[in-house]
Amino acid sequence: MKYQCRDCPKTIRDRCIQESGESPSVKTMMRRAFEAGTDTQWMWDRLQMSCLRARQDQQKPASPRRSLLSQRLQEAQKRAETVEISPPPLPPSSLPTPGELPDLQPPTATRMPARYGLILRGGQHRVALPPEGELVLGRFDLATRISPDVDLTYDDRGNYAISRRHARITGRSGQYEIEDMGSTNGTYVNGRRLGIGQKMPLRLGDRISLGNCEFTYAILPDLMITPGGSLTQAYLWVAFTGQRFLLPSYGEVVVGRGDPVVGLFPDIDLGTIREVARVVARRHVKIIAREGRHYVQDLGSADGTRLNGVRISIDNLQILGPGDHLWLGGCVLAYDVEEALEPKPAWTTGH
Amino acid sequence: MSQNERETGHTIIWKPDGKEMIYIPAGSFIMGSDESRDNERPAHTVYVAAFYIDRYPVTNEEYKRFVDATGYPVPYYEVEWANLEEYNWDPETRTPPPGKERHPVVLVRWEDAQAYAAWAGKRLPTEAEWERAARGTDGRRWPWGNEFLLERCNTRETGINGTAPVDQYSPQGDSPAGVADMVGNVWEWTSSLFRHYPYDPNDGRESLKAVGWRVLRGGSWLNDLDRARCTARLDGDFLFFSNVGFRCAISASEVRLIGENKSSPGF
Repeated sequence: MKYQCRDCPKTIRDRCIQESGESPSVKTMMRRAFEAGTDTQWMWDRLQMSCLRARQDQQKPASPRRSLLSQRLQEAQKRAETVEISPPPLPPSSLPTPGELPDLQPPTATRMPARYGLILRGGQHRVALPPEGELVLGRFDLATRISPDVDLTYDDRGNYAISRRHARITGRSGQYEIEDMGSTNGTYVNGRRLGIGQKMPLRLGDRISLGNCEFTYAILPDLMITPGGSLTQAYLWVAFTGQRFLLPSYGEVVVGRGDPVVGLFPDIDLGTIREVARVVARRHVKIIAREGRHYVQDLGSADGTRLNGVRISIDNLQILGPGDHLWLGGCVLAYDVEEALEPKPAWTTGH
Repeated sequence: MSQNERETGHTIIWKPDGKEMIYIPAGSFIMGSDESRDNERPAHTVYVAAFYIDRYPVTNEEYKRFVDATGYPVPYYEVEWANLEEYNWDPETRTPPPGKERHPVVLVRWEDAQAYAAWAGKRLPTEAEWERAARGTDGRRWPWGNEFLLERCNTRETGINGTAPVDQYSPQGDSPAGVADMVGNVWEWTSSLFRHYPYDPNDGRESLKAVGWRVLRGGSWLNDLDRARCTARLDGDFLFFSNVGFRCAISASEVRLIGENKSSPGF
């Protein structure tokens, strides 16, 4: 997703910079860059958290409800918010210096926790990293129908350069390391090939190459959806085929494998995709859309569901953010958002 | 297996590494299978020139002779994502894991197999040569016939959960030409690139310099009996694994026989 600062109304931008927690010199620099139209992706990465807060405060608060579903949604939201990841201070050497040397400080703790991930260059999805645990990147194996947590088949299409088990990223309290899993074509970080058994810690801005897929390690934005006027469109992206299924901004959607024999047709039918159909259960997960966010619930499938490599249990709803990968028994779906092709909501006009 | 099913061929001892090699005469055979996975279809006829192929896969003790003679690195890796303890060599003494001398060498990359073959004056078999040696000419599913029998090879069903000595299932698991341990035990590197059938040796898939995944054949101790069929193919998109080894081959035209085998049928 492109950064949004250039299209941002002035009041939001000013508030955003003010609350960003950056030093006064950095703030001045950013303000100047906005006015001159020279603002950059780097600035967006640093401002997006405060940007979200500034925009969300424009929304009306939701009316309280008492259903079991809303209770579970609140619990999921709370779980997401209490995950403590404080991003490490950025080493000065890895950032561009626009004119004056900025006095760097770590971003302040925010309501939405910082999520780290990979942004695929020219790709249709991002890859969110779980705060703890490991994430295996590779491709779906047609013969065994086994898939790693992140399936890069479509991104690799035609190149045959990505192995079934290609690389592994392990995280511990927000620090990530990448290692190659003995792939033929290797894993490259900033142009250097990783040796067998070598674990390379990741720093923001690092370029990771798997075959012809180039990723940048970055902070992933959280969602920017306002109720009553969607700025963004969420979708599920089938990693094996590159197909997209748009998600509604309100309601529930069942994802599974349609079965004419028993007369079951889920809202998102993965049974139409021959190669992955066999591993997906007839009713595998439910995606619940509420108040601009999406939640996923496993519906008791035999093979289970993993979110960013972590198995999710049946009774818990999990909140979804951009770059999250759902592993459905072997079929990998990426959840992501993009700008909706709709006129902007009313609050942005008149500034 | 009845005697009349065996092909008439002869065996030689290859001097540089002392391995028994079996002669496979030139001719056509049925490669692939219409009844299995997509990458094995369609069944088609392929012509292969005469060649010799190792009777058994390269064992740890044979690979040790190679690393001792050349100083080549031993198979040893420290990784978290696979348990290699049982198969790692000792990097200081440069010896294979104890008790596994007659087991096929594993944790070898395609490049390592090429290096051994070059040292021995041989090469890796092409995919077509491998299947010809394993299957014979009648299109059978397993080297001994069309029915799977448990005591003929080492697959997951056998329950050893590891490599076995290369001659453990001989002669009951041998192919029609008498080549042993072709299926089960370890996948074997071939020199061909993984491409669609029909197999065309002239389309570049036999080029040793081309970039791409090489084909592995033969199933292993870790895989089920379905992967141990003569036609099963695996794309080698990894460097090494604890169930991947190799054996060597050499074209008959490159062989100069000495000693008793000077005159042999059809050569």
